[in-house]
Amino acid sequence: MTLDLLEERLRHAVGAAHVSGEAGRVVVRPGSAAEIVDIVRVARELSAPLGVGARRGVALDLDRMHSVLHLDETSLLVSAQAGLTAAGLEAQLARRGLTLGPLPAWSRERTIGALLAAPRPSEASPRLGRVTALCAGVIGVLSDGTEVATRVAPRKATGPDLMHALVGARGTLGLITSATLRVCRRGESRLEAAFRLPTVEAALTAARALLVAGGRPLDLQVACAPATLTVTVDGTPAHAEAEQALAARIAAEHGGVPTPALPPPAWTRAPHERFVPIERIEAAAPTTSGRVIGWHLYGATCADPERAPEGPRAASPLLAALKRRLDPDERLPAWPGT
Amino acid sequence: MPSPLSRTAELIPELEALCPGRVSTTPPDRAAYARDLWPRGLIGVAAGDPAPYPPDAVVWPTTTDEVAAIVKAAARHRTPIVPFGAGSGVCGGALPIHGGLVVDLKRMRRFLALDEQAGTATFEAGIVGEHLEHALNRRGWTMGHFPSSIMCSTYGGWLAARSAGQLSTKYGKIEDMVRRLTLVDGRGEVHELEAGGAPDLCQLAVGSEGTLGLITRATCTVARLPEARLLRGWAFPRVSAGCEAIRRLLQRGLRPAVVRLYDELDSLLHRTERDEETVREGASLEAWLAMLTPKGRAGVSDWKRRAISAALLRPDLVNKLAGAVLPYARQGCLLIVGFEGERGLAEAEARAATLELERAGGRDLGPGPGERWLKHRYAVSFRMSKVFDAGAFVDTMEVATSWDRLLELYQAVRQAVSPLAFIMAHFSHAYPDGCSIYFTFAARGGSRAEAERKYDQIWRAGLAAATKVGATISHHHGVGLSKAPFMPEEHGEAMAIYRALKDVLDPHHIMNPGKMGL
Repeated sequence: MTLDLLEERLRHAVGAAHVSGEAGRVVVRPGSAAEIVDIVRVARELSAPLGVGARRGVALDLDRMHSVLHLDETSLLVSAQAGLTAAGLEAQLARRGLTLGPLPAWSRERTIGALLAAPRPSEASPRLGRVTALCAGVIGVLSDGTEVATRVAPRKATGPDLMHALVGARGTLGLITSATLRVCRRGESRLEAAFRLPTVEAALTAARALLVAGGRPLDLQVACAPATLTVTVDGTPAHAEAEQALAARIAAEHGGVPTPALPPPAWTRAPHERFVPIERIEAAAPTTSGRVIGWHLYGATCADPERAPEGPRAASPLLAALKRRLDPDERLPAWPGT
Repeated sequence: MPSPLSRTAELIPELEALCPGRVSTTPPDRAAYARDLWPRGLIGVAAGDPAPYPPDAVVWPTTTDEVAAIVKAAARHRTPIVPFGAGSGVCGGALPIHGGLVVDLKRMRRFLALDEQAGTATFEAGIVGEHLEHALNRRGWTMGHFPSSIMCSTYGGWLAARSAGQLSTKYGKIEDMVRRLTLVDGRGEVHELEAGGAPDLCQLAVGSEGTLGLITRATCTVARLPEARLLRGWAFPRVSAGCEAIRRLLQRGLRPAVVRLYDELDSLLHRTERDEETVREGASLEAWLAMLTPKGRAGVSDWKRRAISAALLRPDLVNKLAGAVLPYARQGCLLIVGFEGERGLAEAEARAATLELERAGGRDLGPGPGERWLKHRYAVSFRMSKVFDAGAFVDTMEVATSWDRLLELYQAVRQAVSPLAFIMAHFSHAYPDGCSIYFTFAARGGSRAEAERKYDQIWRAGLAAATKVGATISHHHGVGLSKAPFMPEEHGEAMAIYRALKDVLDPHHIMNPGKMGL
């Protein structure tokens, strides 16, 4: 493969204005899913590696793919191109009284494609689940140029949920070109309450008890110093008040007293975080080492040790085997660390 | 019954060594596993063909290690494996259509763990749903998963086919509850798959209906037994008004445990029969059809029975008549809405729901309809197999789509099926972004061949209509054999991903072959 030939073919595919040669790679800015399919086919013919932001071969830059394709206000579904940022989407949704739900401040500049392909643990809410749970369907391209579109339905029983070969797979099995996301109306009442607890263990136990009791707060955080539980609820006024009353009762049962809401802990601004299933959260061990500064709880999971690298766990044997089958020439990026 | 294939004959001694005394090749055992509850098969049963697809052998493992060893042995002999729970599937998913080995998991039924802090429970896959629920109830917990098959379906079967319970709107479908599971793949390799990971490999195994491997154990979320349960019935003038009310409830953030809206015909039958013992929730058409059965004949006038029987031969006329008369029926559609859980939350949600439903034009019918529903909710349709003896057949088609297309889906399927079968529907399993529709249909064929032809024609017409609207062909019954021809249309090019999973996990294609359109 010569980069010159690659560049020439890509210029032909998407227009010269959207292709630029750089050291060891060709950066290409497609404007549509169809152009991405063409780019993948060119890369295949010329045996070039490719990926979003790849360091060699074809580096896709999805900046131009920042459109909302369809907003269905009846079903609260929005279809958007992968290059649109969460903040860009939120701005358009806000005009219609809609939102994606809570995202950490530093996640808002991430693109839809990045949020879905490489979700981080704190991009989640007890009410809405992980950010990937917002995804109702994706359109993407496999390494052989096959365009796949998963069927959008509230739930299905038609085999494995095939979307999960692209969502969360860090671009190793295919590229996401657009996605349909579930959005929600901004709640009429939003209430935030904070409780000081005697220990971090008590705060974590109270947080878990609230989830087990059926509480579905929009956000639920435990800060370590001082041990504080922060609960954000929303919904109809009656429902939000009932949720808040439940949180207050459970906090009190664990020795909690109301306290003015604290500024968000530092980790909400710094993406040093790690995923821990809720049943494996152990407050004592990491806190004595002084590393954990807070926990972000959702559905039933998550923790947040400072400075622990966010890097994903090793690829499972199943994922590795699937990669060999779907991308036999390893044109798409490898799983980080492999 | 054909005798077992020679390849299986070589396998049997190996299985005997692995699972001493838990392998059978006897005709009665093979006959017992030769069918599931696919209604098309029941047409054959009624015509004197009770065991269409006998396996060559049945084996009852007790551990994951045994399952892995069985699969390794079968893979060496390239012998098909069909995982089997309680056989209540209605799509032919558990039929050993290529013979081979049925692996019955019901001896793997242990309650392994309850984590009260995390709200999760771990069971082996072969436990029957009702036993699982009782085991949790004794400790003050519930799985919140109540399929009408709960007495004749297993935990593993729920996971394999993406089951939904009657309270799924609050507790989720089984794929929403699963946290991790153990899968023995088609090579005998054991995978521990965690949900919520990135990527979520658990979601690639759930719903695979035995085509990728056998699920041997799983951990799901559980909830404390509810402190309060508040059920109410509401009347809406039309289906569209009822759907709109449900959509508003869900999109305001409320999570009722029960949401069931019956269309005009389903509501009418529901009311007419409500005080009789024969009433079956979600199966009120079956209640009517029960009059055709020998037992149901007692107390039913001869003209009524003959009228129903004749009507099923001309469903187009009956549907037209119903369509013309029902808009003038006084009470419209019945909606049952229920909240449960912590008392304060449930009461607040119920109050908010009442305001919303009144605003949407609903009329409060009080707690009666909901309580009657609760009482009869497990009266499942498998008891209706006698209907088939009378030459009629009944089946259900559960499709789903987003709210913007829901009424279009309802009309399209009704229109497609009406010329062929007597059809009615209820709307349940609601989500903020959409809802499923549960159609019940019945028809009659003069002969087995005619009944089967009609049966296939109804499914083709109904699912083609659903696909055209953009809906999914199944919300919670699965695909199995019956919907396999519709899988290419359902998934399009994305079937390449499913085929890749199949090649990776089951390279010899021995796992439940011939199913799911693979």
